[in-house]
Amino acid sequence: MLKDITLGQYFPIESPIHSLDPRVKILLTFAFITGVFCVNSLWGFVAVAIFVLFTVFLSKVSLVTVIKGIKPVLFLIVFTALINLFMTNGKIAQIGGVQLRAGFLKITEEGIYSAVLMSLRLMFLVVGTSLLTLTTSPIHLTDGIEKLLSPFAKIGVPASELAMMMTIALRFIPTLLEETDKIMKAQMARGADFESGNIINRARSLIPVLVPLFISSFRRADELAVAMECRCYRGGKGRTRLNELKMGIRDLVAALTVAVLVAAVFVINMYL
Amino acid sequence: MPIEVKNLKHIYSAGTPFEKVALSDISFRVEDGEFVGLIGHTGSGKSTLIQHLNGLLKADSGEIYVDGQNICDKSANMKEIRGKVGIVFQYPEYQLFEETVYKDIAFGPKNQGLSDAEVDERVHHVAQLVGLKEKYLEKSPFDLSGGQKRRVAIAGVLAMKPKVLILDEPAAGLDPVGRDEILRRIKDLHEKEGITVILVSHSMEDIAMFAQKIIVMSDGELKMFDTVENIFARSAELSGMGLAVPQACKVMQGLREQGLPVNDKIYTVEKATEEILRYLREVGKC
Repeated sequence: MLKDITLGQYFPIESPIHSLDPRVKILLTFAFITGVFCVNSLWGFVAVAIFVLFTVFLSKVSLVTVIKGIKPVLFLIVFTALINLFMTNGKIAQIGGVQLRAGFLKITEEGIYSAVLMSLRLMFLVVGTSLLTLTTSPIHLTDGIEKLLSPFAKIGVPASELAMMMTIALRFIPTLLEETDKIMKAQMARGADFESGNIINRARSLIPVLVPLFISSFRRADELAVAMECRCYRGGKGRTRLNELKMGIRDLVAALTVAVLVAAVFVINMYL
Repeated sequence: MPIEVKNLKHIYSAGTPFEKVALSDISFRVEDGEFVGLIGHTGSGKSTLIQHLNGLLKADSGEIYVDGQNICDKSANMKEIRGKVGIVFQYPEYQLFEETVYKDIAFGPKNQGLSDAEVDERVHHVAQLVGLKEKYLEKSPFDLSGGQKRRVAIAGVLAMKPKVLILDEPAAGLDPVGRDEILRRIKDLHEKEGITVILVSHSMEDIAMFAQKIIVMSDGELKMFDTVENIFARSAELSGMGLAVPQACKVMQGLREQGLPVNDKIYTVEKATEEILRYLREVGKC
């Protein structure tokens, strides 16, 4: 149940997408997001779909895994679609001559169109961004973010501290999940029941999990701080790194591909 | 209450690159009132195996019978089974959460739906069994020492009156005194209350001291299941799996290899001392 979340779960395999420079991947993801937001017709989404399928194919991550990433935001997508469906003004849609309206609720043709567009847009946003986290290890990701933020260090952005905080947070997600699983099992072995009862009872049944989890998180944080101090950690100033990031021809190709996608989206917007 | 496992198989993260066969084709039977040691290298599947025995993990295939009831059945009543088979996990003190020791121990029996009077009786009974003084019952479990916390956690499982008690490294991380104390209590429980015990441990000395039978696991398979004596006689195979026989056993086997006619089917320090003294007397050097 806790392991269903794909967002932020790295797939340790080798592929052309995996070996791209994380900085390039982050920037291209932003370009992709911008592109997806600009799309205003179904044809635009055909271009986006082709690009996404191609990237998934190259990344060697199974399509099922990528699509599973949508599950956590499914509610949001459905909710947005419904709002769009009922709240857009325009021509009332008809099925077999029957107007689709009941009381203050009405479904318009424009509503249907924008609901479809919105759901597609959200879906592609999630799929695109989860591709970034599926193909980039958390460490690479934070390296990339740190590098991208480093020019802003001059105006007081604590780039390396932010990167360290993210690394630590990411590093402890699996640990905490494991810990939660362990504590839940221990309490289940003592007859705790997390699955039945109404919402209040279920929330109450989580106390035996949350209390030990908080205590162990604080303990871990404390131990980590001591361990870091013992190794003379004093912030990012003057630190060098083991693996310097290098951009190559691959990254150029990737950037060009995304540029083509964005251009395609604009052309489609204008002429179709 | 016997436990019977038939052709148990478990795969982690099936269908992903992380797929791993954790248990393959495990079969064994533990009889009523036995004390069984479970040994194996880290990652050999011990913890996975024990979590199947009270239904915390679901088998991918195979059957598990507790008291004649197949617990892999969908209709099986999990609460009842977890009351019968108690598991004390590694470092169980990390599961404590209540304001007082009393409330924490009472968590299990309350979940079983017992009346306040019964819960009260059980809490006092198990506190005594694990050697917790009455005055601790009203303290916060977080104010206790490591060894005391561990006792509270074990008491919390015992309070459910399990007929089978499974302990995963119950003595790990304790000082030698705390260690002996905990293990001695477990042995007492086994002898006086007639509880079936399955003890997971890395310490061959502990297993040799308490267990009657041993299950040896390696790479998710059950490699051996036999009496302590027969298992430790196969020391070459054990070391091939990254396991060792108890030191006393090693000494006796070494002496025998050197040509001394001593009994090498010995695995506790006390027995080894006796045997060496017997030999020395025999040859007249002592």
